[in-house]
Order: sequence, then structure tokens, then C-alpha cells
Amino acid sequence: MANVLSHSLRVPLTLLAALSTGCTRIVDLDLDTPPRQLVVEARLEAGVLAQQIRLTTTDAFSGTGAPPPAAGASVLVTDDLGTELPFAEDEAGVYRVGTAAITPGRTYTLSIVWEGEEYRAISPLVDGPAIDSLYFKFRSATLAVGDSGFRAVLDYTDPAGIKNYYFWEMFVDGERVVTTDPGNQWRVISRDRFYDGQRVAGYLPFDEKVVEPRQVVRMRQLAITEEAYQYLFAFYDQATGGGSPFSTPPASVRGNVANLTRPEHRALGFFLTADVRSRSLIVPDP
Amino acid sequence: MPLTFPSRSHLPAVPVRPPPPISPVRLRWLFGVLALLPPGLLNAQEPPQVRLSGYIRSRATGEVVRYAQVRAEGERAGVESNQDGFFVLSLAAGRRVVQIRAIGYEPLTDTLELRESLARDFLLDPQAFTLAEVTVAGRRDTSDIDPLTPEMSTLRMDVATVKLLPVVLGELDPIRSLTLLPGVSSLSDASTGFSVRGGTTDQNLILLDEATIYNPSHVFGFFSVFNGDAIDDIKLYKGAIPARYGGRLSSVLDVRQREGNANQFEGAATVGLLASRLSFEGPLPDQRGSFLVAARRTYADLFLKLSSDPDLNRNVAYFYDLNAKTNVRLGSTGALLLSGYFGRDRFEVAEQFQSSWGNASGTLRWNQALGSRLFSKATLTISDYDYSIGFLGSGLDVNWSSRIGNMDLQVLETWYIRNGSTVEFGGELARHDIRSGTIRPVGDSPVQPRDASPRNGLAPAVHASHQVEISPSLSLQYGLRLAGYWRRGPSTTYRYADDAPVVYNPALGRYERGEVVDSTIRPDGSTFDRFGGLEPRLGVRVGLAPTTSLKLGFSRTRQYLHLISNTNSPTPVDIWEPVGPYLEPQLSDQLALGLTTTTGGGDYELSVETYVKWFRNLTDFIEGADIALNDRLETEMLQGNGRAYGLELYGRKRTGRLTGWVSYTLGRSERRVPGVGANDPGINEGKYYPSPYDKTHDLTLVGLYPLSSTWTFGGTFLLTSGLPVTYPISRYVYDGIVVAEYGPRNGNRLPMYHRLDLSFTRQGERTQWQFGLFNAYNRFNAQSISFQPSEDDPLRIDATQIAIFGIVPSVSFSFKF
Repeated sequence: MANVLSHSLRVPLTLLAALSTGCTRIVDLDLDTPPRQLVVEARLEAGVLAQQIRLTTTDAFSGTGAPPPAAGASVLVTDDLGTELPFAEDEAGVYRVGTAAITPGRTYTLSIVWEGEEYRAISPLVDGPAIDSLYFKFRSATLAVGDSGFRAVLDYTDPAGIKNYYFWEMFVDGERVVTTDPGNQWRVISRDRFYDGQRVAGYLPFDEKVVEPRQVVRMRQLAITEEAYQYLFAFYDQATGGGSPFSTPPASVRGNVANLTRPEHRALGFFLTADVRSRSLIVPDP
Repeated sequence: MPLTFPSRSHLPAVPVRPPPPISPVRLRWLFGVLALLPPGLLNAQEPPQVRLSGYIRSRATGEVVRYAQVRAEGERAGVESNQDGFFVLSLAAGRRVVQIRAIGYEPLTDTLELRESLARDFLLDPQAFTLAEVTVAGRRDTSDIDPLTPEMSTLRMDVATVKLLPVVLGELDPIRSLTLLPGVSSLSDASTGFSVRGGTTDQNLILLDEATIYNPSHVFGFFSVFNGDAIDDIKLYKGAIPARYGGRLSSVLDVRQREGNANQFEGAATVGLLASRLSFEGPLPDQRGSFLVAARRTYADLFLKLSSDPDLNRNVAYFYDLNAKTNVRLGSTGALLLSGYFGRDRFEVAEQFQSSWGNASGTLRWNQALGSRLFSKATLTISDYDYSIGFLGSGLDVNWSSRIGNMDLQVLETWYIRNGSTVEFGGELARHDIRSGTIRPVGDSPVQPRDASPRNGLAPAVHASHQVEISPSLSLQYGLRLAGYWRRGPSTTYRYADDAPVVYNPALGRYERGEVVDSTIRPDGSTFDRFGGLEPRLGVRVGLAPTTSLKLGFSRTRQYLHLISNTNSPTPVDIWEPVGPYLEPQLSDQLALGLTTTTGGGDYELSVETYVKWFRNLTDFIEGADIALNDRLETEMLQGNGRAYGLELYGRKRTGRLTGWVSYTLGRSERRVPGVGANDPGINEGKYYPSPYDKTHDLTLVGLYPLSSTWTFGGTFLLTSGLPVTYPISRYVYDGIVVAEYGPRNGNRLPMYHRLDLSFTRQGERTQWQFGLFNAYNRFNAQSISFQPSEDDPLRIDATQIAIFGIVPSVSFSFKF
């Protein structure tokens, strides 16, 4: 819960910085580059035909731009019924399959062979509810949230009696909204621990993104596993957690991809399987 | 009660006596042996021994004077008044001259005709604060290191001196002032958490009039809860903790509130940049005693409200404190004290975030001198710390709150056997109540109310100790504490497969929660787990020369409450968790060796002390620990060992125009968390790694210099090593967001920290102006480093150092009425 503080502490720290003339300074760290590690961005979505897995590697800390691709790997997905789904490398590091019948209730195993080492991840695919409705709400600017404007909100009903974990994605005019705000771990993902079986109205996952009239907004609601929720929570906490003295200490985010050949040469990233429901709406004129 | 011997440096030089016929060494030995024998056994023709006892008080205000030296002329040894101002002096009957000295007061000499034991109070005149003269003794100063007592590893702060030192934003902070002394280091400018000899911040027992204060900070840690107008005495035990204290491993910070002027009404008001204080005190009707009330509040929020910008004027940010104390005399030998503290912080960002937290504490104490042999004290304290955090505007609006409280009854008896021998014994029973998480919806949020399982416990303890002077060059203070902790219901406890709440997954290289195999509901009032142990304490003093001593100390302490925090600095939302089926008590053994000396008739004090500490069962967290509302915290934590060792050098000049001190600590603090099972290498592969509080070098220089009869200049300079940090080794991108991958835990350091603070105080008859400059040369002191996506290029990580304070000027004005 203390990491919540770092999200909300942007405000007092700004206030106090104004009061106390404290500041920040970007420094250059002269670091050696360690051996490359495989980074797995693998997602299997039910309700979607084409599936894509992106493999990259780690880069020097001071690197910029897109990360180096991990090309030449062999990627295979099998389900618990034995059905195999081979992925073909389309462009460097991007592995695709055109049509796949991914269904909730199955458990999927991802096998990768890259640079002579074998990696494996296992993830069940769970069912999730639909978005009841998608609409827009006007919010005026506050100290914590930047601009005034319309924001996309949604209603959904959590199924009672089962543990549900949610992950939202928003596309505006076809472009994915990627936010690096502290607080992602509280907004972009959610678990029903405190609202099991309830109807959630006016949920605002992307509070920083203002949408303009006539833009096409597409909201995707992914039902993920508990393991995926914990991974994304830790990931957002580390990546965009805010870095104040009140944040959690730096730590490596451990995913679910194991290196079977050399366990100490760990793979990063996550193999995520999800049921996806989506809704689209055009932002009305005021 | 600090059992100490008088510091002879305060006393005037005695006329030199002609050399005795027997060699001085043999004579001392003889006296030493004779001193062990009960009085009256020797020569029946010696004048009878009588006892003089009573309270030492200030003539101006009637408040008790603690640690005053009382001596009879012609007697070898004297005694010291205790924490309640009470003393007992054994002396031969007849016409005797009694001398009393205390820091900040004029020496008192009184001639008494003693035929039998007498109980009376003595009144001391406060010393006029004359700066123009060079006075030999008696300035109010800090940290009395006395070569003549077995007490060691102790620091004392006097609020009057602290008020002359530079402060942040004009707010006096006794905790920050303590970090100017050896062995005590601060963690960050943004925190009142402090580390004593390599210990963690939760290993410090913070007492306000003997009531526990769980979170001594305001505004997330920028300021402490101690109002300089209300407090009097601050004592910090870094090691050799007396047997009457227990429950925390590294230190005891004993803060006392003032009792108030028993003779006349007076008040004081201070207006500062950030907060203002008001205090009022006076006598109770019929000369029965005194009272003191003090309040403090910030007004930064008033500036927010004055703004026309709705972004600002709907926010709330303030804190306030209220201190009160009253003291009622019972006859001439007893007193009843009632004191309390209440403080609150509130911080709200409209429609987004609201928070509120605060401490409340109350003390009721009765002390009574029974004849001149026994001093008896019974204390009932209540402490409460609670906080509440609300998150609004997301659709899942929720309020989360938590509280910890305790009620504690202590009894302490001091038995004055004779001047060189005092026995102290007593007992304590505390009841802890922890509600570590309550969730409630806000507005029409669908969040369901939830409560974490309460954690309740009972902490009993008994202790006894004896301080004895075996000879003028050998004294001993030894004690034993037997303390325990009983976990009580209502609660639910769990059992895990293979009795392992945390397991290691070697394939994925991570810790995972163990599988629950069953749970047991513990009813209200049942005791389901018991912990306890003996804690021996020892202090030895060997006199090497009249004002030089070698001291040796040993103490073992246990801690039954752990502060659960997985952030770098303590935050208000940290949780306290008591020991339980899967959480062992923390244990620490400390050995210290020191040399203290005063030279030049008391003008200079020097102390060198070295220590070694061993820790067991320190807690650390698995990655991604989920501590909110978690009834099974044992699945998120690992326990390991630690060790700390260091050297503390301290030199102080107490007289002359320029006074001050130099303090240097060289230290190392590290910990080790071994693996939980097969194939688990543990944190940092099970090897020792620097603890988050490991500060290698810590140098402080403090000076006070009177510029004229009204102006005083104060300056402090700090130079310390940076704290450990974990550096990244590479970066990667997941789902469009860049993130760093990290190397060995705490494998690097922040840059060196140095800072100069200045203060100028103008003391008038009734008014005082203070001008301060914090961080006078505006040094960028990095307090933390973060690795976050860059503003310019979202796929690049910027390593950003954060400094809390640049140069900060401050002004404050006080007046007395």
C-alpha cells in the first residue's frame, strides 16, 4: 500500500519542492553491459484470430529506441489437449500465427528455443465478463491530473464467487494508449478482491488520456490470471512507480518464463493468456 | 532512572590534602573493601549515618531538576537526582555542608544541622544566560558523557541548546538534532526515521513521557511530532540499555514533557515560516502543582485557500499538535502527573486523494518517595496511532485505514541502599491492539467493506538491576530483564504445506506463497502463541585516572513488534506486525567498549567508543510483496541475520566563547537472508549485503559562538557517505514500456552528502528572532535515485537523482508573555 503513496506523492512533493527548492538531476551512469537476456512479450487472446509474440533482448541501460529483436527463435504454443500452434517469424523478432482457435478453459504452454537454450511458460486462459457500457465523462483539471477534458469510462459487472483479474487497453483512432504515469498498477489493472460480484460504474482506467470529439475510442477488457496480475503490478511498480523516496526499492520483475537449459540465465517478460471483450465508441461532439 | 555518579568536573577544586601515610593505591583498595561492608559494622564511634532526601526544583518555575549532583562536603561520593528530580544522599550526622550543582543552574551550598534523616526539597536558581562572559561551567549543553559512571552509549540533548542550532524551515526537531551526535544517522532529509548503530528505524523505542509514539513524524516525515516548547529532556540510549527498557533492539529515545511553571503564569508564542506555536503554563490553585499546554499548527493550507485557482484552493494540507501536562504534588514526597499528546496530519487533493493520520498518547504517573530508602513509581500509559487513506475518482473509490494502540502499566521501585549502591526493580504489562487494515467504500463505490484479522498481544516483563560502586575506580551496573509476548485472539492462524509459508521456485527464480493446508480460528481471549526470553544487561567502568575511564557494556534485547514496510523510507502507512506462529522475535546482542575523558577542568570532553552488534530474525520482503490487508504476511516475508560494527569518536568543547563538538562515526551495517529451502540461494545468493542504513562515514561539526550579548551564531556542517542503492545493469521493453533490470541489491552508493547550516539568534528580554539558512551553499544532495522513462524519449530510461532541499532560508519570531 505504501507504493500508493508514491503515486499520490507527486503532488505533495511538487508542493514541497516549490516550498523547499529541492530538485532533480539526471545523471549518466557508466555501466558495463551484461550478457543479453531474452525478453518475451507473448500474448494469447481468446476471441481474436491472429496471435503475435514479440521476442527482444535486453540492451545497455543507456540504450534508446526500440530494443534489439531476438531473431531466429523457434516458437511453439501447445494447449492441454495437445493441439500445436507453430509461430512463424514474420519480421525480425516478431512471430505470428494467422488463425488460432484460442478458447477460455484451456491451459497453454509456450516453448521457445533461442540461441541454443530452451524456454518454457505455462498459463491457463480464464473467462471474463463483457464491458457493460463505454461512455465519456468530463473531468476538470486538478493538481494531480493534468488537463480538463473528456475521458473514457466504462461499466462492468464482476462475476460473483470467482477471483477475477482485469487488464484494460485503450486505442484512440487505432493507436494504443501507453501511459507511463505512476499509478498504472492501480488503474490499468484491477482485482475483484474488494468488489466481488458487484457492478462497477464509471471506472476510469486511463485518467491522464483526454479524448477529443469524433475520435474513435476502443476499450479492450482482458481477463487475466492472478499470476499475470501480480506480474503487471510489480512491472508497473518498477517501471513507472515514480521513484520517490517512498517507492518500493528497485528489484527485478520475475515473470513466468523459465530457462530450462540454464536456469540462472533468466528470461524476462511474461506469457499472458487472456479472454478479451471490447467496445468501441466515437467521442460525441459537445 | 539513570543511575549515575557525580561529575567532579563541575565541582570546585578541593584543597589538596597532605599525602597519606599509606600508599594511595592500598588506601583506595581498603576503602573499596570497607565500602562493601554494611554501614555501622566498623567503628561504632563514628557519627551515625543519616539520609537526606527530597526533590531538586527550580526556584523560578518549581519544575523538577533531573540529574542534579548532590554532594556533602567531606564525603567522597555524591549522588544524582533521578528522572523525577528525586535524590537520596547518605551522610554522617552533624553540621554538614551540602552542595548541589546542575547544568543550567547556579550552584547551591546549604549548611544543615542533621541529627536524623531529613526529607526536604532544594531550590536552584536558573543561571542567567550571559554570553559576554567566559564562564567556566554551567552552560546548558548537550550530551553529558561522564567518565565517572558506568553508564555508556548514552546521549542527552538539552532543548535550550537545540533551539540555538540551525533547523529546517524554522521548526525545531530534536530527532534531527540527535543525528548530529555519534552513532545516530538520519536516513534522508525527508524522513524522521533514524538509524542507531546500524539498526533499522523500527528498532528505536520512542517514548513521550513513557508512552510509546509509533510514528514520530508529520508531513510524511519532514518534521517530528515533538514541539520544542513542550519538551524538556531528551535522552537516547544507543547501547547498554537499562533493564527497565525493552521491546526494541537498537535504542530508546526517552523524551519528557515539561511540567509548567509552578510559581507564575507565563506563555510563549512563536511565528515561523511554516508553523506557529503557542504555549501557556502556570501554577494550579493553592500551590498544588502546575500545568502546561502547548499547541502548534501549520498554515501552508491557508495560502492554498487564498488562491483563486480551483486547482489549489480545494486542497487541504496541515498538521497540528497539542501537548498538555499537569503535575499535582501529593504532600512533600509524592506527585501525580497527567500528560497527553494529540497530533494530526491531513492532506487532501480534491477528488483524488485524502489522507489523515496521527498519534495520541496519555500518561498517568504516580511517584512517591517512601522514607529515604525507596522511591516508588507507577505509570499507566495509552498510545494510539492511526491513519486513513482514501483514493477517489477512479470508480472504485475506497478508504483504507489502520490503527495500532497499546495500554501499558509499569511499576518501578528504586531502593537506595547507600550512596554507592542502588537497586531498581519492577514489572510491566502492556496490551497491544492492532487493526492492520480496514477497507470501506466512499460514496457509491462498489467496494465491499473488509477488515483484516486483528492482531492482539500481551507483553509482560519483569526486571531488576543493581548499580554499585565497588571502589572509586570500579563500578558496575548489571541487570536482567525477562520479557515475553503472548499472541491472543480473536484471530485466525494458518498452516502451510511443509510448514513453509514462503517457498522458492528455482525454475522461475522467485519466491512464492506457500500453500495453505488448514486454518484455525482463535477465539477472543485465548492465547495461541507465547514468546519470551532473558535479556541480560551489563555495564562496567574502570577508572584509569581521575577523569578518565574505560567502559565496557553488553546488552541483549528482543523485539516482538516488526514494522512492515517495503519502501526505502518509512511512510505513514507502514504496518506493525507482532510475532506469531511464523514470525520469530528479533534478537540483538551488543558489545561496546569505550574510553571517556574530560580535560582542562571540564573544558573538553573526549570519547572513543567501539561496538559490535549481532542481529537475528530481521525481516525482509520477497519481491512484489503484497502487504495491504494481508492476514498472511508470513507468506511475503523472509527472516535473516545482520551485523553492525563501528567506531565513534566524539570531542566537545564546553566552555569559552566558541563551544561545540565534533562527532565522527565509522560504521558498517549488513544483513544476510539465507534461502528457504533446497535450491534457494537466498537474497544476494545468501551472502552479506549492505543494509539500507549502512553509512560508512558520518562526520558532524557543530559550533555555537556568541557574537555579542544578544546575538548568537550557530553552525553545523555534515559530511556523510551516501546510502546504498541498487543500480540497474540493463534495460528492456515490455508492452511498450521501458524498464530497468537490476544488479546486486544495495551494490552501489549514492554520492557523498555534505551540507552547511547557519543560524543567527537574537535573544532579547522577552523576544527572540532567529534567522536560519539551511544548506547554505545550496549543495545538491541526492537522497535517492530513480530509473524511470524519460520525458523526452519514452523508450529511454533516465537515472534521476532526487534532492529534497536546496538552500532554504527561514525566519522565526518568538515572544514570552
